[in-house]
Amino acid sequence: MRWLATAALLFCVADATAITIVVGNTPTRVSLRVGSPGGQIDLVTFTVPAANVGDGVPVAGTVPGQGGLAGFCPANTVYVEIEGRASPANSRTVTLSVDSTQPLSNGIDTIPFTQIDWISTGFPPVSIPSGTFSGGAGQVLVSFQNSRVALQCLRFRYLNQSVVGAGTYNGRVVYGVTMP
Amino acid sequence: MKLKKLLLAAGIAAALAPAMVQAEQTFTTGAGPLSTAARLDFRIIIPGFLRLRVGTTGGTIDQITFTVPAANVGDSTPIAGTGGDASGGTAANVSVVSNRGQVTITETNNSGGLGLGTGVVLDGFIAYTQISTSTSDGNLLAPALSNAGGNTSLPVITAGQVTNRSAVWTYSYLNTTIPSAGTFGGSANGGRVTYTATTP
Repeated sequence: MRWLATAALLFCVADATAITIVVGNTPTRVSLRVGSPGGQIDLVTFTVPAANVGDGVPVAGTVPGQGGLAGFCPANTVYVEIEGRASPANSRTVTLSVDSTQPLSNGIDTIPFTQIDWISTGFPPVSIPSGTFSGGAGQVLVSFQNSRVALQCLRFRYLNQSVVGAGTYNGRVVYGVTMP
Repeated sequence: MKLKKLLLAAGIAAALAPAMVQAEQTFTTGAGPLSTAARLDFRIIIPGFLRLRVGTTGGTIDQITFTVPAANVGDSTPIAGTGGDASGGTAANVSVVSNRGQVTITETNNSGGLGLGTGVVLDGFIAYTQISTSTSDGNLLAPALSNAGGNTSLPVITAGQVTNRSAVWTYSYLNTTIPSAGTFGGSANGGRVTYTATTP
């Protein structure tokens, strides 16, 4: 009986030493996702009722496909994911900024991006605060130390604070992540 | 062995192309400073609209009443009105808001081109030219009232396609003629003026 127990112990020891798990350094990288993955640039649409043009009541945007991440973000929000990976952890600073310099245009009139804000729903440990586009370049939204992932759902609103010409206004912002 | 070669090839490809872009899901790898970008589009749909206010808001139609003292009938002393919603009743608050380009305001009335009457033809009529309208803001002029109607004014555009003007229009009875005694006008006797705003 003692022999059997010893044999079993030997077998266990032999199996354990045969398995080697190596956790290698993952490549240093930054990644950014805004909305849907892949080749699609998501579109946030605000439709202002005729009776409310310029009355100061914000108009919430609509986003097809639950902002690219059904089941995680609420409907009509945009999913944003930022990751900065480097070794060792907490050695570098990851910064998310946005360029909203070019105003929305209908071909005749323009609407500055300062008329669009967002309400954030974040997930620890990193959250993008709610805010308003500055209408400029290099607006810093959040900074955090590397080896973390920021996951966020953003609900955009058109502030509707002035009467503007009729038409369909289109515009684009560019988010950027840096890790010096 | 074959799998190991594939993994090795993938690793080499990643090393040679440190900035991989999957459109708006992007990443960059490398030893030095790193950056990557992603875009988001916005669209705002603004419908065309036109709002005109003359006098009290809502469904109320104001009536301006001029009461001429017996001693002053026809002596050319202007008579101020009462019943308006501005300036102690002598005037009307007016606003025009639109985002469809140049607004035109046109005046018409329900007198059939005759002017204000009493309901009795023999009493004659008071011409609409006896009622003047002044404005508190030159950017929002009032069309001159006329028996035939059709006079227009063009509010000055605020910017682009947008007009957003407000003013107080003050009405005055010029009192330069001697009409029959009586009460002229009111909605039943040709005394209702309609202002119509239009855009292209």
